Amino acid sequence: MKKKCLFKVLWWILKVIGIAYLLVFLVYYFDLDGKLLYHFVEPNMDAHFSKMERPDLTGTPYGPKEPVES
Amino acid sequence: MIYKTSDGKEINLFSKTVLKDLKLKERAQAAFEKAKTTDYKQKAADTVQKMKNLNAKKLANDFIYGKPHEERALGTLYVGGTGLYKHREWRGVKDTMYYFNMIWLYNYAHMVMDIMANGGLIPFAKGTWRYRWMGQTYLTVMHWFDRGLEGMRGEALRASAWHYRGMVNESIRQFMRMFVADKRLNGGKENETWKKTISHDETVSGCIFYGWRDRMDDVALQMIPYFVTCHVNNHTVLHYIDAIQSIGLPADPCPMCQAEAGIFLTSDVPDYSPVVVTSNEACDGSVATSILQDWFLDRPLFAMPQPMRFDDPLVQEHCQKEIEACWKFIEEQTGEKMNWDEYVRQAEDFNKLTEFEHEKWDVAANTDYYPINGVAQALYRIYYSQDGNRPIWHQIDKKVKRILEKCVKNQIVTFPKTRHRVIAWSCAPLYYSNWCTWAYNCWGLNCIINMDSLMFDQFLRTDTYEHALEDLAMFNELAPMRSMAVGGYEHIFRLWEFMERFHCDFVVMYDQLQCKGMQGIHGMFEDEFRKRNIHAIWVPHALPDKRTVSRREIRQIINDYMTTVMHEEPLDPTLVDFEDGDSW
Repeated sequence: MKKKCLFKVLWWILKVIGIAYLLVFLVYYFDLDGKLLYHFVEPNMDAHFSKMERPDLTGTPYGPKEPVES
Repeated sequence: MIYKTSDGKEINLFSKTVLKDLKLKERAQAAFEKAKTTDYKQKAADTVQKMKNLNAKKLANDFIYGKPHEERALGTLYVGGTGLYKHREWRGVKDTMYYFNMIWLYNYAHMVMDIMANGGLIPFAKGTWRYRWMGQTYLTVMHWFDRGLEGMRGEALRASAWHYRGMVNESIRQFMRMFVADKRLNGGKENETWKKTISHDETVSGCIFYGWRDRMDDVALQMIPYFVTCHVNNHTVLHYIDAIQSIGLPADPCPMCQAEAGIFLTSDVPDYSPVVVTSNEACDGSVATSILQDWFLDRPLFAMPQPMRFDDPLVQEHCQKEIEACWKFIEEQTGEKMNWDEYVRQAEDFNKLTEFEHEKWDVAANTDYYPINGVAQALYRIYYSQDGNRPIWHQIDKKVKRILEKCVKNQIVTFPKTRHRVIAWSCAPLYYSNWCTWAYNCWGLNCIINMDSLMFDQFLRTDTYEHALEDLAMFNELAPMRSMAVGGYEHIFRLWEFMERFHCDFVVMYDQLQCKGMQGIHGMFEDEFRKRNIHAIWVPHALPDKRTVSRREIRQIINDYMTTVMHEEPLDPTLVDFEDGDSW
């Protein structure tokens, strides 16, 4: 009885792994990762970086520096 | 939430005009019109006829082993303009499953493991959100593999993919080190990692810092934010070029220098080190760029420019003294002494990489069994030579060595459709480093070796301090570009010697339009090609900037030469012309 139950659980785990593997293969084969990145992720990240506030480094003072080696 | 259409239009999905923007009505109308005008009877008859003509045996054969090269029609797999695939290539059962399991899944999984091993998800997430070159670029890395490995089969697929894996691992290690140390991501704190990291220009050799690698680490300033991004996703770099031009840098210097200065200007270089060791990047435009970098970094800086003529014996002593002064500078600034024993250990380890590179060249030059494609050879070699000794290169070389030996032992012809053995010379277009994969698939042009691979060809002696210093100075002087492209015409003309050594019958001559050094010697090359009766195609480009000469234009130039001069037919006609302007 216990053995039968164990086989059932193992069979169930195998089925889940098999289905997950198949789904991931479909993502790979139909380039769904690329499509997600191209159509959604990249344009949104681009918009995020374009509106990000950045320090104005042209305000960094410049002038003669102390020599690091005499 | 923005949705980008395949023709590059960006649509805000939460705007009131979303339905209008998506043109759903027009699309439905067009579909309706098409349905109305389609002759379904004829279509059904055609399908029946097609089914009748199907050869079950051939179909099964194509499924199991993949289609023959000439029937692959790789060009039909693209979604127009984007470089995306309608579906990824079916390479036969064995190679498709290898690509899926050992390249695609393996690399996605190992990328997560690499991130966890080098600081974890939190600094990774912070860095991805903070830096454009990270958040916009590196997430698309598996498409970099796809582009470089298109059409590859068997051992060529495996060995080339391992090279990519090495570069991905080392890139992750470097950007994670930057993020963990970054003051900006750590509330302005100077943590221990920040204090133990040396930053340097990407053309200063990593070998210089071997003496600290037992306690500290060195990370190049631009290799990850600039150089690698151009290969992985060239959209990012354009922002940096535009940024620096917007404050008045002229548009005609080398766009590499422009882009690198742009990264500094937009505050997109992590603050990960108390010191910086810089150089002139062995190039004209970089001198000005270094000045901008010095201004924006505003921290102790040691400048170690590579001399114009490295074979002048008078400069050697000067360069050696500079390296010693650089070591002294690091010791003074960080309080950490240079460890000679560590230098020796790292240099001797690095020599093993050079030794294996020579083995690879020997197979590439003298047999048809070399399993590494042109783009993997070029990028891996320049990456590890400049970066210096790292454990990952040894792991990769071990795997590649096994494949290489198998190919030689079993006499496996790895690129069976080779019509011409090509040597690629001068600096390559970074946004189209995978042109050679296309050229092999379309025309049978097999890029055996390239100029960047042949630089740094030198062992580092460690028997005495004097020998070590001599070799290290020379190694650093042979920086990218200086070694051949802008190091004197006698060096750039070593092309003829290498053509003979690698048994090449064809030259792809890169023509970096904004490189003043190489432009100056263009005419001499033209004369030499004619005099020597060598087939050479000039490939114009602007290094990272695809807007000057597009990938499609590059392909057209090669197509024109192959048809009008060589009178050859393409192996895969679907690859002759296609639009990929918005591809990564």
